[in-house]
Order: sequence, then structure tokens, then C-alpha cells
Amino acid sequence: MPDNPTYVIETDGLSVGYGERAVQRGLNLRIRRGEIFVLLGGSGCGKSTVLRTLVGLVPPLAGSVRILGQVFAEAGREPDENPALLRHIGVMFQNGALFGSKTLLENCALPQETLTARTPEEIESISREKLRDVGLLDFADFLPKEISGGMQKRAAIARALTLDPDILFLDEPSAGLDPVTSAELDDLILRIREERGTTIVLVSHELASIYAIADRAVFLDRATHSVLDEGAPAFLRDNSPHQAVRAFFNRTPERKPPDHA
Amino acid sequence: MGERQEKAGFLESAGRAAVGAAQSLRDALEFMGRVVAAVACGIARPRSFKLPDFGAVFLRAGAEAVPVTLLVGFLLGFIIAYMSATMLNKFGAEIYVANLIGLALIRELGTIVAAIVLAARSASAFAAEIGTMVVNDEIAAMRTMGIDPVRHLALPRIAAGALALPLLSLFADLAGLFGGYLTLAIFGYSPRIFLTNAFAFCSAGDLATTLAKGVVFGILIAATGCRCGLETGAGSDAVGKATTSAVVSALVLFIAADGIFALVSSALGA
Ligand SMILES: Nc1ncnc2c1ncn2[C@@H]1O[C@H](COP(=O)(O)OP(=O)(O)O)[C@@H](O)[C@H]1O
Ligand SMILES: [Mg+2]
Repeated sequence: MPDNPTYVIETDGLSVGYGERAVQRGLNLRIRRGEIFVLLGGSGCGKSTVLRTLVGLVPPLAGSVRILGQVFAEAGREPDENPALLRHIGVMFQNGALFGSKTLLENCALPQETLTARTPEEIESISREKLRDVGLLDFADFLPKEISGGMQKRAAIARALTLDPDILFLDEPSAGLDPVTSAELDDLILRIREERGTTIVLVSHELASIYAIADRAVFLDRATHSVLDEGAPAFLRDNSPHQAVRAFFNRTPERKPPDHA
Repeated sequence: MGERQEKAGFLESAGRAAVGAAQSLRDALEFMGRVVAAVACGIARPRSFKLPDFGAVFLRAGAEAVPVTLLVGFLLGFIIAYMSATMLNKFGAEIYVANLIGLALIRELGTIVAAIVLAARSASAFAAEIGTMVVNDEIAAMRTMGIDPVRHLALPRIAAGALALPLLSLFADLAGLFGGYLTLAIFGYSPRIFLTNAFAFCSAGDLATTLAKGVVFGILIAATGCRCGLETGAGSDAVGKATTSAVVSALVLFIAADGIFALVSSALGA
């Protein structure tokens, strides 16, 4: 189905932001199939905004987003929520964004009900399978408020996986989690990629997690509103010509849990 | 000089207020357009059309609002009847209180009481529920799943409002009439005479108009709650602001609509 099998996400001259104000400009991202790609940068530099633009929630101020070879969002075009493409992406928002009035099982069923032709029996069995994959099968009938924050994030990943997406977008999956839970989440992300070949685009602050899972990272700069550098995290840490990038990576020693919880 | 500046300041703020009002009217109309589109989409494919949570929303907005509607309707009927009766009593004409109460309640007051109750209880609740979902990114999550929030969140609530308000207005009418009857009972009139007089000036057409008004106001009030919820911005006070503006705009809109109804019906000679 894709025109270009190498890149599942391509952005050309993409500027993102709200109203008139660009938060990031001139993004030319090329994300390969099966890659784990990380958006890096200080707070407020626009990582979430870029992610929201890639999934079609925020219209681009300039440029375009192609997903699986098809134009998904373009400046000056009304976002026509394209179910054919939505079917191929899964999104986990910064705080999970589970539907508060629905159980975990119902949360997992909802995207399948709208975007697939699966029967109710198939939907239920797939939902349970995904909840089992993230270790939450026993909590299928719980409401989001009845489980912990880390469990909510895992449930949100299970919900995003129910469509067997080609691309999974994760906004700060490990933020606010204790180091052990965060490491478990890293293992889960690696396992998803291994088992399904899913392309994963994520926002992360946790250096330990970034070194453990990322193939490639792009560093977004808040001051210049543009990409400062791009490459493998360890390479950027040691070789980036940009002081800001090296400083970001050297802020905390590698693979040590941060001392604040 | 100072006075001219003050005038310019006044003009400027009046201008801004007018622009703001025009903007919110446009938002409201645009939202109604999206609601109509969602309804049309449902009519085009009736088989896949569901109103999730309609029952639960209707219970909360309608059934649970009955006690307070009865209370307010009763007090309003009793107070108006009592005040009119003490005056009309001087002319020995207190029985006409029944005619007055019947006409006022059925034509106007019952619907107004029910609409205020719906705006206060449900426009606010809808804005808070949906606004919390916005802040929590649940609406964003819906959109990435191809779910239209207008169709799945707003339509069931608007349908519940459209059904609840005419029923609530009937409850308000009944309670108000009971309050009016209590007053006349004090003056020694029987229920039969009260009822005969209360309905003397009312026609079936009045009742039908009242019910139709109830449906329209119910749609307006519920839709305003949903719209303000969906327009919730960022920040910790956003849901509170959305809730306040939902109640205020719902009240303003329904009173404006009531005025239009009155103008149209007097133009039609009703
Ligand atoms: N809905 C919004 N409307 C207007 N500005 C926003 C909105 N969301 C975020 N912003 C602004 O955009 C900038 C980038 O935010 P964000 O993408 O959330 O950053 P990050 O995820 O990197 O911390 C911030 O300055 C923020 O204040
Ligand atoms: Mg963010």
C-alpha cells in the first residue's frame, strides 16, 4: 500500500504551532519503517505540538505530513479526518487520555468499533489480548481512576495497539513513573517493535529510556524554533557540534535513574 | 481632552464587546451547523446510528431535575397567585387569579422555570463533563480514533435536552397550578372552579406552542453546554470558565429565543 516503503512518515517544510505563532519551523523528518524515533528537547519546545500535528490534531502552519506515502495533513487544507489512515496509527497521549467513564475493556473496544469491521466477539477477544500484552488482563473491568498512573499509561498503549497500527505515537510514556515501571515500559516498547515491526515515534525526557530504546532522535530547540541536530542518541551525546544538545545529554549520567521521583 | 479620551475608551470597549458578541454568535451558529451535519449523517446511515449514553444523560438532565422544577414551579405559582389575589380581592375579583395563573404558566412561566433549571443543572454539567475530557486529551484521543465528538458526546445530550425540557415545563405548570390553587383555597374556592377558570383562556394550541418552545429551548441550552465544553481552553481554570460561560450563554440565548417566539407569535396574531 505505501508508495515509498522506506519512510512511513515524511514531513516537508513542516511548521507547527497555534494561531499565528510557530512553535517549530522547517521540519523535514524522515522516519523509517520499524524505527524507534524520539523527539527531544526542553519543556515547551513543541514536542507535543509536533506529535499532535503528525497525527492530524493540529493543522500545520506550513508544509505537509505524509503518512505511509499519502498526504495526511497539509497547510491550508481542512483536516479531513481520514479513517483509512487513522486505521494505521495508534496514539498514547501524555497522561493516557483514557475515557474516564469506560472500563479498560470498553476503552480498548471503542477504536475498533469505529474504525474496523470486526464483530463484537472479535473486538472483545482482541481487547483482552492487548490488555494481556501490557499485563492488565486482570483489570479489564476496572475504570481508569481505579488503577495507578503507570497502569493507565500501559492501558492507553493497549488501546493504541488494538488496531494493530503500523505507527505508534507515544507522548512521554515514562514521565512521572518510578524507574522500575519506566524500565518495564521500555521493555514493552521494544517488544512491540520486535513482535510487530511497528514504527514508534515518541517524546521522552528520560535519558535512561532514550539510550535504551531509541534508534534515532531529533533535538528540537526552543530558542531558534528549529531542529538543532539529528542522529543516534549516543552519537549526539558525544559528537554533536551544538552545546545545547550535548548539555541535554550530559545533564544526567547515563543509565542512572534520576534522583527525583 | 480627558473626556474625549474617555469617550474613545468607551467606544473602543463597546466595539470590542460587539465584536466579541458577533464572534460568539458565529461560533454558536457554526456549532449548530456541525450538529445538523451529525444528524444528517445519522439519517443517511440510520443502522449504524447510536446515541451513546442517551438514557443516562436523560435521567440526569430530566428525571433528576423533577424535584427542583416542582419546587420552583410551586413557589412561583403560589407567590404570583397570592400577590395577585390580595390585590384583586379588593374588587372581589380574586377568582380571576386562576385565569391569570393558568395563562401565564402555560404560555410562558412553566417553560421559563424549566429552562432555567436545565441551564443551571445541565448546561453546566455538560460543559464540565466535556471540558474535563478536553483538558484530559480524551477529545483528542477520540479524534485520532475517527470518532466525531459532536456526534458521540453532543448529540445524545442535545437529544436529552430536547426531550427533557418540554416534560419539565409540564411539571412546572402542574406545580405552579397547584400553588395557585392553594391560594384560592384560602379564599374558599373549590378545585373544580379553579380548574375551569385556569384553563378558560388556554387552548390546545397554547399547550402545543409551549411544548414546541420547550423542544427548541432544550436544544439551545444543551447545545450551548456542549459547545462551551468543547471550546474549553488550556489551564487549571479552563473548565470553570467553560462552565460559567455555558450557563450565562444558555440563559441569554434562550431568553433571546423566547423573545423571538413572542414577536413571531404576535405577528401571526396568536
Ligand atoms: N492549545 C494550545 N494553544 C496555544 N498554545 C499552546 C497550546 N498547547 C501548547 N501551546 C504552547 O506551545 C508551546 C509548545 O508546547 P508543547 O508542544 O506542549 O511543548 P512540549 O511538549 O515540548 O513541552 C508552549 O509554549 C505552549 O505554551
Ligand atoms: Mg509535551
